Amino acid sequence: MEIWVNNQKIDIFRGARVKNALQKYSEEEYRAVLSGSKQAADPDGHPLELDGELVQGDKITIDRR
Amino acid sequence: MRIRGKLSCFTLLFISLLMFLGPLSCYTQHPGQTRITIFHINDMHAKIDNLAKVAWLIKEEKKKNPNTFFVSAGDNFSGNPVVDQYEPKGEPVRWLYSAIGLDVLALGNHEFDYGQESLKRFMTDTPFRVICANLETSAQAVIPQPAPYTIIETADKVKLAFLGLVQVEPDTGQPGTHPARLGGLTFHDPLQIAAKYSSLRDQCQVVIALTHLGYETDRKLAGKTGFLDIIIGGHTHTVIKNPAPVNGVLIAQAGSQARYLGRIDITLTDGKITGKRGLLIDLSTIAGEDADIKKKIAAFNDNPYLEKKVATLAQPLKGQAIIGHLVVDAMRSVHRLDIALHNQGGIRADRLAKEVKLKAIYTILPFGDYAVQFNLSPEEIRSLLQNTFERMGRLDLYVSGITYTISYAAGSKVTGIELRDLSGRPLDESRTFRVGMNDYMASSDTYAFTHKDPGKSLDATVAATLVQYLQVGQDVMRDLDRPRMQTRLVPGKKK
Repeated sequence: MEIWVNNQKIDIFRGARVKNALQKYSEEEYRAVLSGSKQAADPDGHPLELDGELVQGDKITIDRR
Repeated sequence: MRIRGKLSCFTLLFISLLMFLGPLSCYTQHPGQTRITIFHINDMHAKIDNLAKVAWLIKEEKKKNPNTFFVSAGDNFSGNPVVDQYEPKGEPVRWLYSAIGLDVLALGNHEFDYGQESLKRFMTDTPFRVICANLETSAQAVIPQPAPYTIIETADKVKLAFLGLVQVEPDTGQPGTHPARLGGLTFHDPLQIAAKYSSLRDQCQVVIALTHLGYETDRKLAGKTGFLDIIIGGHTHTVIKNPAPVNGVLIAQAGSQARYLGRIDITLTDGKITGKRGLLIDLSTIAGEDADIKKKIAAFNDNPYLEKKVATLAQPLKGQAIIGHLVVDAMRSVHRLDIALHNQGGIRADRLAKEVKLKAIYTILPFGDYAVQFNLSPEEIRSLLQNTFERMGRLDLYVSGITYTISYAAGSKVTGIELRDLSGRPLDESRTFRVGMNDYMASSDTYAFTHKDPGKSLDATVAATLVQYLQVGQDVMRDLDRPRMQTRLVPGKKK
């Protein structure tokens, strides 16, 4: 399925979670979110937890906290 | 530091009190007014520890306002061995929700994880109502047909409807769980089904969709249907701190793992909604706990189930490679794959006692990784092995179903990879193979590989897969010590 992370398209397996999409996008950014220095959020700015399940077309942004 | 610590505690308590009491001051009930409070949780995933706080909050609120309800937007199972491996599976959640006084539960995709027999018990032997409008059962189904919606009436005759909807994967038409658990069940498009229940608007003063669809789909639901007041959602673990209306519909979701409890306050004047607003309560800021529930949670956590014997092996296992082979054999067997692979870093123990206890499984596989399947050609499998070897500079992937030999030159430069089936024949280059791996490998750059098939989650953790494999227990020791991967250094040409 296609997921968008910081406006970049990521092709990832069906049933992937937020952490999988972040890892695929950038290990470094994933670690930053894991450590809490950055935060994954949906287009409305709502924080997303790393184990959140994704559906086709979901959009994620990674921002500094 | 001491004063600062005390101040922090005081501040936390003060904030928690404000969060808890704040909404009350805005909702003082006047004649002709009805005030309703709905607490909601979603994607709890068997993390039961905070439920004593949830119980306390709800009990305190019910003392002030009998029109207080508690609902779950699905995915209460899978994620904590204390609950997942309990006998019967999931019992701690059933017991705790019943004791706390859960009113309504909408099915999520992970409610099916333990199989239909377990879900049937969860649906029938409970005081709360389980709803799902887009699920149709046939005679082959084990679970009963859930009600599409339920209506709760307050003491002052205000009716609230809760409509249940579960997510459906677009390509399979089923929720995200293993298809083997869904025999006799047909799932329909949740948005189309929701539209059929517009008459709830005529029957009830408050119409709430209790969904497990994910936030984006909840937004579509709010835009498409014209009869909903509120959507309480789940699935995407979205932390909606200040729920906002979309197309006039308030959409709420409370993260996951019971880190938050959602709260929605509704005011009706002469039977019409005149106010609705939501907030999240961060449970780490709540000091109060229901003593009885806390005691029961401690008993569940202190249960002997992690000490439970899963299997008895013919002999103890020693060596990480042996354990690694056991894990990939389990993945291949349980998920009926041709080939299974697992990275060494994900296997965290190098021995297993003859009497295998549940705790040992979670010591071997502590990361909670999920199994993922790709249909791969031999060339695509080689790309995975090559990339991994060149990045790591060593053999890293335990394998089941084939053997492989990597030829390399100086600097770990791969010059060729030989893949053979278990009879020693080269793999058929013209076909694809069902290849399983953990979700870390499927996402991490370290294990990047070319693949036409986008892949799919097998909706089971590798740890649960290993438990299942050992419990079936047929021939699990076979070939564990047989070498399955090797390297061959290709000498450089002499000048």
